[in-house]
Amino acid sequence: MLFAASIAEGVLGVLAAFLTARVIDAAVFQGAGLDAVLPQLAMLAGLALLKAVIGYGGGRIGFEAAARVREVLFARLVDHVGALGPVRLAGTAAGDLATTLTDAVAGIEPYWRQWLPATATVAVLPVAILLVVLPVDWRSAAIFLVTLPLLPMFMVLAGRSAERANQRQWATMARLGGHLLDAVAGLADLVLLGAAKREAALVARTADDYRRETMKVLRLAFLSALVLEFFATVSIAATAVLVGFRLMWGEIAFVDGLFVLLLAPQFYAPLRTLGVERHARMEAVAAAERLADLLGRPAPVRTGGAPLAAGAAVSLRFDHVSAGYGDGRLALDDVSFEVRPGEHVAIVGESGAGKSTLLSLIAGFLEPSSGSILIDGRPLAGLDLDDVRRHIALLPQRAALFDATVAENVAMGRSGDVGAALKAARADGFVSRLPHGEHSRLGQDGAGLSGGEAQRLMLARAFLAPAPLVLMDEPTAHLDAATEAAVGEAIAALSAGRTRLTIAHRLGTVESADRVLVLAAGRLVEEGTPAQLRATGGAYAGMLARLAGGSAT
Amino acid sequence: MSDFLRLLRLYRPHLAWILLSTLVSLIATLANVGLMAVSGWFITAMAAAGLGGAAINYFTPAAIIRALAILRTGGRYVDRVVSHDATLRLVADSRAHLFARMVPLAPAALDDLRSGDLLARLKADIDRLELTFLRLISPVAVAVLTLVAVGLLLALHDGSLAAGVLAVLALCGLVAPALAAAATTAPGRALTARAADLRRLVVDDLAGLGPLLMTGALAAHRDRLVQTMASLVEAERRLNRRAALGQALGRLSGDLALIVALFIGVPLVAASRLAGPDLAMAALLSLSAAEAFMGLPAAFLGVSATLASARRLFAILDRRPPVTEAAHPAPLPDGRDIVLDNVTLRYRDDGRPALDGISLDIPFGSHVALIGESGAGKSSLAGLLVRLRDPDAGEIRLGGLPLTALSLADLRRVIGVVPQKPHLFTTTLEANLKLGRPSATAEELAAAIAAADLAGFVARLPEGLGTPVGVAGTTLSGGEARRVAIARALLVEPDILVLDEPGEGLDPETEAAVLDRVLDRMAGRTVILITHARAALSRMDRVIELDAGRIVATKGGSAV
Repeated sequence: MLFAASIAEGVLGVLAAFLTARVIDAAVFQGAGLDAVLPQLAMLAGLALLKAVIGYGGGRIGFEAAARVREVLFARLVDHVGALGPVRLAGTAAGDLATTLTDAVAGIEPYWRQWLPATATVAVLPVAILLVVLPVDWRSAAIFLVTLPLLPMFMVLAGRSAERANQRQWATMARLGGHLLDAVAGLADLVLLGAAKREAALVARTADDYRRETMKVLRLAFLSALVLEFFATVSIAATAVLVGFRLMWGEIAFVDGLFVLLLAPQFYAPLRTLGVERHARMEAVAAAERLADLLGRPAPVRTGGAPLAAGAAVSLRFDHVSAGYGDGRLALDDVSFEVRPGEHVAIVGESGAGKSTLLSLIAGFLEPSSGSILIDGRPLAGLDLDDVRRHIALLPQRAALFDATVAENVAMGRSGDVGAALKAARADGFVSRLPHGEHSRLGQDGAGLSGGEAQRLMLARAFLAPAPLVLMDEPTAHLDAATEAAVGEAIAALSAGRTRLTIAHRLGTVESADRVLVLAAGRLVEEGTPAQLRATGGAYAGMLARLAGGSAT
Repeated sequence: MSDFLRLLRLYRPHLAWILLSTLVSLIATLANVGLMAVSGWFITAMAAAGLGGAAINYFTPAAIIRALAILRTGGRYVDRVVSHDATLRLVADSRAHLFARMVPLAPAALDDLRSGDLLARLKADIDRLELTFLRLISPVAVAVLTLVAVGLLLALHDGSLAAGVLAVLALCGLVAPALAAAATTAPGRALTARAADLRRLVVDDLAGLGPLLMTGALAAHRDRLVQTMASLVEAERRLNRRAALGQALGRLSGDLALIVALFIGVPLVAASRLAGPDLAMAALLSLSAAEAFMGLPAAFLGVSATLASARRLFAILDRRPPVTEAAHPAPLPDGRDIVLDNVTLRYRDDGRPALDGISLDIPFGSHVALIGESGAGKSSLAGLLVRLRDPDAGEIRLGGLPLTALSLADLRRVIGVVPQKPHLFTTTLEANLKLGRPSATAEELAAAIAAADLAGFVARLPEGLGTPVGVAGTTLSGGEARRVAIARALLVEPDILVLDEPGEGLDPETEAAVLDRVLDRMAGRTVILITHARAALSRMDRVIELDAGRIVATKGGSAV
């Protein structure tokens, strides 16, 4: 449809040229008055209108085609992001990812609306015009024909060098923009360090250097457009001059000569349009690359699987589990341990020891590269992931709240008693003081709440549907003492009688656990009750000594 | 309109380039139009000569055709080069100008720009404004001037012919696209709102992807996203319908101008008031003049977005600087004692004060910790010390002189601050470290690195200090970034160092080690430590607890 519309526009243009030549010929050489040419003028007007209507329709069709592609693509991207999960996406800046989902999806549109129709016309119209001109005046056709093989050559020339230059130009602009943004984002630091004035001079100099560099490239790049312009112009001029002399010698009819002259610009117009639309393709290709990069990341296919259907507490077993993030390094290296139902196990170790990886594996955000994880004696890999997740309460170090009401943030689409959950999480007090109670809307990222309040809402979310397995990443790490006590009580209530794994940074948290796993560089180096580990004088004992030394609490 | 004029004023230093670029563009366009018009005249005249057997001077028109062909070919090339050069000059100049205007606003009046989202919008705004000349001003100027040239040429032959063609070209090529673009203002606004909705939801859901998966709420949120996308596309569809209409009318301009030229010209030829070749000339001139209007519909569609961008940008530039520097700053006093005298600070006139009548002495060389809940006023107090803001009441003195009497540069050199969320720049580690003192020697740099407990980290890096730190320091962990910021501040050798939550992102052991080294290095100089962690308080001379903007307790460090 899209192709047909743009080709029809071209064909109508040829017809209009034919009629125009007839009218001028009649008026100048047959002495025709307005009455005689009126029918042809009316037809010309009709053609013009038809052309405009088709052009309008073509634009609309292009839009709809692009819109459908965009909507389908967006849904696929969202699904893929869900399948990848937060851990596999952690390497990508959140802003970048959001830009891919919004701007990059929009960015493929010009390809459908501008570039595709332009390529269709360029493939068909010049040849069609050549076929029309050939029987009318073979000499002019010969001029067109001579340039025709040069055009593919030009296409390659333009396609390679101009594209590279264009790409470089856009990359340069992007780098330039990046530099300015970086400077603006860090302006506070620049001011504090007294470096702002120096940076301002640098912004100016960098931009000017880029201009010089870019212009060097562009001066060459524009040469390819010059080649096209040269052929188009020379052909028109040569056609005009040759036709003119043959008219004087009486070798050709005026109406044919004028017709050919009118067609000459139309012969080259599609190519020029293509040159103009090249940036549309470039932008679309850059956008498509971003999309392909995201869609190309492998996500595990987890459909079906048996339901977990566990009781009030579950057992957990790691059997020679290793896992990494795809860069060859192992975040967990051959780790085996067991957690009994209702047991509270603390995980300790330095940053990068593999503590978070361990929790991610249980939540299904990551899969082991070898070994297996068993919940209630059943391999995690064979279970329905959604159902497993329903059996897990995950409390991260940082609260993740949505731009929605308190109640919506607690319920998350599940049914349950929000009021009771808030109460259990010791959150009912501050929520009742909010302007609209539990129906108060939170800003983005829980704006307006303190860290402790946000963390208690996360607890309430967990309380709404009590889960047999509680995974925590020291949820009190960023809280002050009073809040910590309140949240701690609530956590104790939440995990009573349930299986609980806690990443612990604080002495109190570790010492209250039934058992401690000590991780170092991805390996499980010690395991036992806090008292046992203290007594052995190993890694845990050393860690305790250092913690106690640094803290006068 | 005033925003537009103000935008043009940004361009004034490059007026010569702009005029040159417009002129070259006009010449190339006119050469193209002229080539067709002269060719039409030429072949008609030659045909007439052939039929009548009369002699004709064919050298002049043939030479004109050749000249126009060269002018058109070369003109387009020069046009592209000059217009891009002019645009890049504007870019260089406007960026430097904008940045210089933002410096006095930082950071207090630019707090919101720390959000990546707003920053990205700022970048999009700047990008759009910089292309205004290339995409809007130049095409419109060339179109109008082409119209004038065509009108003058036709008027030489016949007034009515000129009037008719001009009217059609102006209506279809200029007015109709402008009207169509004006009609897109409302749908354009709706579109902007929908796009912001989508972005907000996407950012929100990406940040909360973990909880969405764990609670099974992802499906509902996915549906909401897909629906928002659909309503965004619907808003675009409404806009596109009107925009496409403007484009179609614009494309009609050449065909209609040709028909009008023939409609008026044919009777003139019949009445012998217009020569035959001139009719062909007028017809082809009208047809090809439309080329100058081809880019206008797209250009006009960008106007409202351009103005919106300009408004947003100017709104930032028009913000009031949070502090003003003394016109004649006093030289730095010898003393480095800090005295806060009944200091009160409010962020909003009606709000609870962030600091409420704080009086505090911090003698030179003392190590003081500020503790308290988030929101207690600790960071606000740190900001006042380097005049990120000024207190609403009370006074802060350094060595007996009020801070407001000193130059900002002196003040900020003497008092170093490691902010809570330091920014690392997309450059090498070394450039980041030397930011405050580019002249630092290798030994000084090594000492600062050691004091921030970074030596081991730097040694492990493949390219050492020359390692790039990635966009906004993303290749570094939070703890590493924090320590780079500490080393950066130490390198300036401040007499007073303020550390705002230096332990964030560090495990307690590393935090204690870093603090130990920093305190050793700052022995004999003042350190103000803002923290809620209780580790390392034992090494401080004094611990001051803030709550709701007031000092609620002061203790010796070992007593905490």
